[in-house]
Amino acid sequence: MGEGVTDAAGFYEVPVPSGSYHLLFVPCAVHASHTSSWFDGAPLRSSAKAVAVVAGATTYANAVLAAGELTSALLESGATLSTDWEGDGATVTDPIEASVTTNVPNLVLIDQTPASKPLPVGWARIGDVTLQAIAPSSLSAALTADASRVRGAELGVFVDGLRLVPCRDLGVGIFMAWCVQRTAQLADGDATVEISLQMFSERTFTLAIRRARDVPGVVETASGLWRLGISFYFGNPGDYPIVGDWNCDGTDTPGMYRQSDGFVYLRNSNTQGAADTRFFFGNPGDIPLAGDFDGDGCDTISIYRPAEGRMYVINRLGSGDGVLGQAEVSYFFGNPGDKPFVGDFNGDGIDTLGLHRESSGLVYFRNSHSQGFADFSFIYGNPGDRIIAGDWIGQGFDTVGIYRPSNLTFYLRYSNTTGNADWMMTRRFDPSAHPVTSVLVTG
Amino acid sequence: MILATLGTPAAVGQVATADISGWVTERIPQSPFSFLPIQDICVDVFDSADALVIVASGATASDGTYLISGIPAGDYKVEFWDCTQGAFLSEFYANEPSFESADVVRLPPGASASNINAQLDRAGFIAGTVTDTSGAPLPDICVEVLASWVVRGFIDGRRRN
Repeated sequence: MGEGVTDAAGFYEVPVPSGSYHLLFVPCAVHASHTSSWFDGAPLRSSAKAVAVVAGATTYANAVLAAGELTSALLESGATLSTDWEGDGATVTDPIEASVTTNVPNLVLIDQTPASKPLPVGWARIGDVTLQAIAPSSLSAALTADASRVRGAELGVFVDGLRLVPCRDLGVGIFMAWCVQRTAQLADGDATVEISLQMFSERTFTLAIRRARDVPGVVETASGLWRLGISFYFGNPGDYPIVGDWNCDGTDTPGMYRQSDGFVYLRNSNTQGAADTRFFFGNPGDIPLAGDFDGDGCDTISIYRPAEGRMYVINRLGSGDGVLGQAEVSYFFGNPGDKPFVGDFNGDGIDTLGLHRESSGLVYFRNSHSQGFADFSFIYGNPGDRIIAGDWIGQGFDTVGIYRPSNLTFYLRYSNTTGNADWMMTRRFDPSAHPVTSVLVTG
Repeated sequence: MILATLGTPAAVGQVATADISGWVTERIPQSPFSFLPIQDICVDVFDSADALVIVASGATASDGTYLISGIPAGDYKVEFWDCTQGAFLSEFYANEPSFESADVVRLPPGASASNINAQLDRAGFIAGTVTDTSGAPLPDICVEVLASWVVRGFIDGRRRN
């Protein structure tokens, strides 16, 4: 309807016909150090007050703009507006950078207004981007985060605390208000989510990550059937199952310790087939424990020798039917009869040893590979339960879970404290089911 | 689009220029048949193909009439605006809000166009001051005024970048 520009004194005057108006105050520069505001301080048009104007009279409307990053421009149809708030032209160092393309001439604003709605459990906010388009339009937007913020994590976009779903055709003339077109990794390692929007005014989008989550699974040792979300056969009946990321590709795959001959058999995919790696390992009676014991992103197999109450930490895998050799570190921890498990209990990227005393339900663990008292202990589970650990909700650290063979049920806890299970799952597992933990593979 | 084509052919050997004339009055919503002439309204004649090219200009007299002479043959768009008081809203012929929507006035060689009239609305004003949070004035803040009742439609202004 009209427009004006403030002078050196910050004053503006815009002639308009009689009527009711929304006023948007926005720095004229494309990249500005002040945010925009609708009249009366409203951040979005949907909450803006209207200003009434009568012919021949003047209505006064002042504005205060807060400091902040804003990118805005009047775009022609098909044009793209991109933020580069640091002006570095390349790597993202702001929480998010964004670009928006409009299908009609449009005034498009991009800023970093914080979203008010919380995210679901397990999701961590990278940052928020508010997109405002003054004209109704179809927009394509890409929200990009630096590689360092998203490495190894699932990326999602949220509006009002709800995750955007993939775009799909809803039928003639029916559009999804907003949806995800594509998630991609850029050449420089940054990750971007491309979204489509049917916008009448504005919306705040939150880019968030969910760290890789672990999920419980079982191996039915009587048949060698692995049930990790997908099912396949690997190993022989009676083999001791282990799960790990043997080739450092971010995916957990199966392994077997055959206690009868002391050999370890590892496979690098969750499919039926022969072992990719095989080597000789340990003594009869040793319990193999798979984990990343030095934080290098690769899993290896250490052993716990119950007869000695001793952990032998090994940070390499063998190959070619060879003998693995001596452990890098060994230490005593626990009492005879305690059941060992491993997990990254403090989120430092290193798996350490935990023990479960089934008679009392006592769980205790250390956060380093050294001899000493337990760093933490609590009660969880009943006699006969089998303990596992994993990062069940993407918190960045592992917590315990138990599998109760008597009722074929997993009980997962989201903190390492005494208390009831936060999540339960019952399945028709075979009585021989042995619980394991693996990283959830997501698309 | 309305084409206004009027006048008489130019004589052989004369330069084929033409006139545009008309009457500018104030629109009074309560009295639609009242015509109050407005003095000192600037009238700009644009090349119809280019909003940046003004071919000729004039202004209204005390009776609201204007006459712009010596215009070459061609297609034009005419804007009326209050260049002295700013009390009236500008518009294009015929009562159109923008160059893009304006009617074309077609002038054949030697022809003239009369009754290129306008009724201008008296303006209201929105004015104010924009400051930062410390109270310091902020220059170069664009102020976009949008009809509050418009849900669908395009913005009609152009913001400099």
